[in-house]
Amino acid sequence: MSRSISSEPARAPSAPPPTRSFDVLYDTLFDFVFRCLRRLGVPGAYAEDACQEVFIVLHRRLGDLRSDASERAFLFGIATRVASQYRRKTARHAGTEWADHIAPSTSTGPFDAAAAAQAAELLERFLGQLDEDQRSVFMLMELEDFSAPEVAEALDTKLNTIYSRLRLARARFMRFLREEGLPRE
Amino acid sequence: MNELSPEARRALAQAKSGQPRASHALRARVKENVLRAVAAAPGEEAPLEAGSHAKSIFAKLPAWTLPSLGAIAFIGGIATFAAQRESADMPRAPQPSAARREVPSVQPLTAAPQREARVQAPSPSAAEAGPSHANDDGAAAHPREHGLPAAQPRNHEEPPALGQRASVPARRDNDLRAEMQLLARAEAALRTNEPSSALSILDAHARKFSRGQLQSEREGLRLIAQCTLGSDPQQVLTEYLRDHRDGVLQSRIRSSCAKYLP
Repeated sequence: MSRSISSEPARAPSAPPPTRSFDVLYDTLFDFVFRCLRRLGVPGAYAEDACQEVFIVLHRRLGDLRSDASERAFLFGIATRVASQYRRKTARHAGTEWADHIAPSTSTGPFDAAAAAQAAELLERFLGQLDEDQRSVFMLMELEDFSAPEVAEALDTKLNTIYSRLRLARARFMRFLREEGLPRE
Repeated sequence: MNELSPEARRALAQAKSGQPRASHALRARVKENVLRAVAAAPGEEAPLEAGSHAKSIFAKLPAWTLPSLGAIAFIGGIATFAAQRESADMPRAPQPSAARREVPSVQPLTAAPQREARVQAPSPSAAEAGPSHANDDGAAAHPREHGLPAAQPRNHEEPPALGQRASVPARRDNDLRAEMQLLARAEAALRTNEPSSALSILDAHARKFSRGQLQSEREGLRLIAQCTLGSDPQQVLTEYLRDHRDGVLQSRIRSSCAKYLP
């Protein structure tokens, strides 16, 4: 029995080796995938299936994940495609749909919880108004704290385009909040 | 670039605290299903067992479909076994790869082709036609060249394919379970400070599952065992740590092999 790790799947000599473990990625990024799928319009009833599909694809494509690439960007790319399939299958549900598998809010009291749920519902309505490109950029940069280059990598788009979409989405968000009655500065 | 106002930022922060989060049960369920699906059919889209989507597909099928599919798979399995036993001593004909590719995989919605196969299987005339179409060098591969009755090669081809496809996911599932059991034994041996027996269990795993799904976990445990034993794993250690930077065993390997690390 060889003591080497040569039994690892064969890789091209020039390609950097995949360094991620599926378990680690699953544990650290499951919530991120779940949130993204929901915000990309996958209804709560289908979120579990969609998550499964995303991670099955991840498992099979783990070798394609370059060592210098962002795992979140890679997963978001998969999630976007899976979400678009689910959106085609199902009509987008209006408002926030809290399925029974959603964990309770982390808010400290009932008032906070109600306010957070209301804000989340408001955000979901706003995201539903954006086109897919702007929604992805706004979501990743404002809600998931992606850097612009990371978003550019995730969406395979030029950096300037990302900034442009962010600017437009922010302007729409401000307008949306004004329409909803949020006080101006 | 337009900046968000403080109020807008506050609204976003509040929305983030009320954002959807998955429960632990959901996490665990999805992971189990993912691993099962991947183990069942690597490289293919496997049916997802626990998901509502999969359930909805089954719900659309007529009530008789599932028992029928089960019966077909069972008959196919028996036919495979019989054909394999009978063909074990004869020279092997070229594999009917084209025919095998055409047989649909066992998916919930492929009831029609399977019913067709069931109708065709007992027919001697269909059996004769099958292999000669399927093989590139039809004359050499024809069953009568081997002195066999015409119906047997048919059994060897279509129904076995169905039976084999049905049994592969279950076998892989069992393999994964067996792999996990072996590695759990190796883990237990390491915990009780018996690195030698851990190594022999890992060797057994490597012999049995040389191309298994838990190779990297095996090699990680092997490194821990070697370091505990006091044998310097040298380059393998560096390679492993480099190739599995985010591996779950990283910290354990680093602490067990600290004296061998540069």
